[in-house]
Amino acid sequence: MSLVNLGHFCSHLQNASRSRLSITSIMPSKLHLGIALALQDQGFISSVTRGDTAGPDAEETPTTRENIARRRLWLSLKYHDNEPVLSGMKLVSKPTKRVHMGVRGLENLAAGKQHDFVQSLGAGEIMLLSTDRGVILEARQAIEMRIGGLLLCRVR
Amino acid sequence: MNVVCPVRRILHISPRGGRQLTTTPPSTYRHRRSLKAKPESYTTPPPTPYTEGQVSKLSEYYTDAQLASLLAGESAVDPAHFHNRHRRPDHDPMKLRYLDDLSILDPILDSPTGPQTYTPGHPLQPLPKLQELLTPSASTTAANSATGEPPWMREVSLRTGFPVADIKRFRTKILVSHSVVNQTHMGKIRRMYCLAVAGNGNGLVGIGEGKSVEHSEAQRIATYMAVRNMMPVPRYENRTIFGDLDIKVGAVELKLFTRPPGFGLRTSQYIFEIAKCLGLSDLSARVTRSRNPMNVCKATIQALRSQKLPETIALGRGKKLVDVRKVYYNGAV
Repeated sequence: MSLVNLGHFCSHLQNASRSRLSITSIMPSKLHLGIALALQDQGFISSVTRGDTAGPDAEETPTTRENIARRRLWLSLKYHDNEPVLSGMKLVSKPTKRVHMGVRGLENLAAGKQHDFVQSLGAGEIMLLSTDRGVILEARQAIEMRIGGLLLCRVR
Repeated sequence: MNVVCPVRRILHISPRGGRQLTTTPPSTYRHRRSLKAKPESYTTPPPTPYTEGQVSKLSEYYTDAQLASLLAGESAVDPAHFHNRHRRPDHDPMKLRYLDDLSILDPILDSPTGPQTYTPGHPLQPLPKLQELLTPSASTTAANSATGEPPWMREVSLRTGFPVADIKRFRTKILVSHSVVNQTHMGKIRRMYCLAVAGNGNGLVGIGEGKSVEHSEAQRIATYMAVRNMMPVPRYENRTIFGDLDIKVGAVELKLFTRPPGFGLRTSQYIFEIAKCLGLSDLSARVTRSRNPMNVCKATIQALRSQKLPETIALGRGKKLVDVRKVYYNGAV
C-alpha cells in the first residue's frame, strides 16, 4: 500500500478538476481502485473504468503480463453550477506519518470537533479510511460499523 | 396528582439559550402540553346562568328575539371548549410571503399600464435603455429637490433600483482612509483614498473604493461605490456563515469560522464591520500573513461570496444533506 502514489492520485484529481477535464486516468492499484469506488459511491466522481493509456476500454480486457504496464484506471469527473464537485483531495496519513483513528475519534470528526491533530470534517467533506475488513470505508460508514482504521485521505 | 421534583443544582453556566446538551431529542409533541385540559382547580368557574337582574339589563340593549338567540347560543357552548378557546391569529395564515415589495413599480420588470397588442417578433414590453434609467425624469427631480437628498443617493438609487428611503437606512462605514501619491510630470499629486462598506443588515453587503483630492469627496465616492456593489450573501440561519472558510487573497490568508448562536462577532475590526453590515451575529476569524486593512476587507468580501451552500453540494454529489442540528437536536445544540 503506497501512500506516495495515493498522494499523486490526490494531486492529480485536484489538478484535473481545476482544468475542468471530463475524464482522467490514474495508476490502477488495488488501493486506488478502492478509493475510486468509494468516491463514486459518495458521488464525487461519476464512473470508474479500466482502460489503457490511450483511453477507457470499449470491451472488458484482462490484465496480462504483456499489457500491465499500459493499464490505467479512468475516472470521469463531475461539475455542477460551473464548479467542480470534487474540489479538494488531501492526504491525511503521509508516508512519513501514518494516522490511525478509532471509532470515538471518528465520531468527533464527524461531529465537527478536532481529534488528535486531525481537523474536523466540514459540510460535504468525507474521510476515507482503510479498515481491517479489507474495504475502504467512509468515516460515517465506519462509525456505523463501529470500526476504525488508517485515515487515508479527506475529500471535499 | 402531586409529583415531587428533586432539587437540581446547576454546577455550570449553560450557554445562552439555556438548553442542556442531550442525546435524547426533545419530544415533538411537547407543544401539545399547552393544549391539554388544565386540572379542575385551574379552570375558570363554569359560566353561571344569568340572573333576572342581568337579563333585564341585557334587554335594555337587545330586542327579545336577539336576547333569546343570545342566551340559546351561550348555553350551547360547552364550558370546556370555551375554556380552551384560542384567539384567531392576527396575521393572515394564507398570506403568501413575497420577497419583493409589489406596491412599488420596478422600472425594468414592470410593464407600463394600458392596452398592449402583440405583434410577432417584437417584445410586448419596451426594452429599457440604461441611459433612460440613469438620467432622472422630470417628476423625480422635482420631488427629490424638494426633499433635499444627496445627489449620490439619487444616482445610486437609479442605478441599483433601491428606493432612496432604503438607501438612507443602509449601514455604511468608512473602513480605510489614507493618502496616496501619484508622481507625474507636474510633480507629486496627493489624493485621499477611502474604502467603505455598505449593507442593509439583512443579507446584502458590498465594499467600494473612492479616490479624490478632497477627503470628503473620496468618502462620498467610496460610499456610493459600496452601495452600488452591494450583493446578496447567503447566511446560515441569518446569523452566521455556511461552514468554515479558508482562502488566500493576495497575501492575506483568511480563515472564517461558523459559530453557534449567541457567540457574537469575535473578529478583527474590519471583518466585524463587514459582518455587521451583512447581518451576521456569530462569527470568528483569523487573519495570518498579511493584515493590510484594504486587502483584508477585499478578502473578507471574496470569502463571504465564495461560500458553498449545502444544497449545491447535495445536488452536485447526488446525495441528501441533512442539517443534524435542526433535525436531530431540534436547534438545541
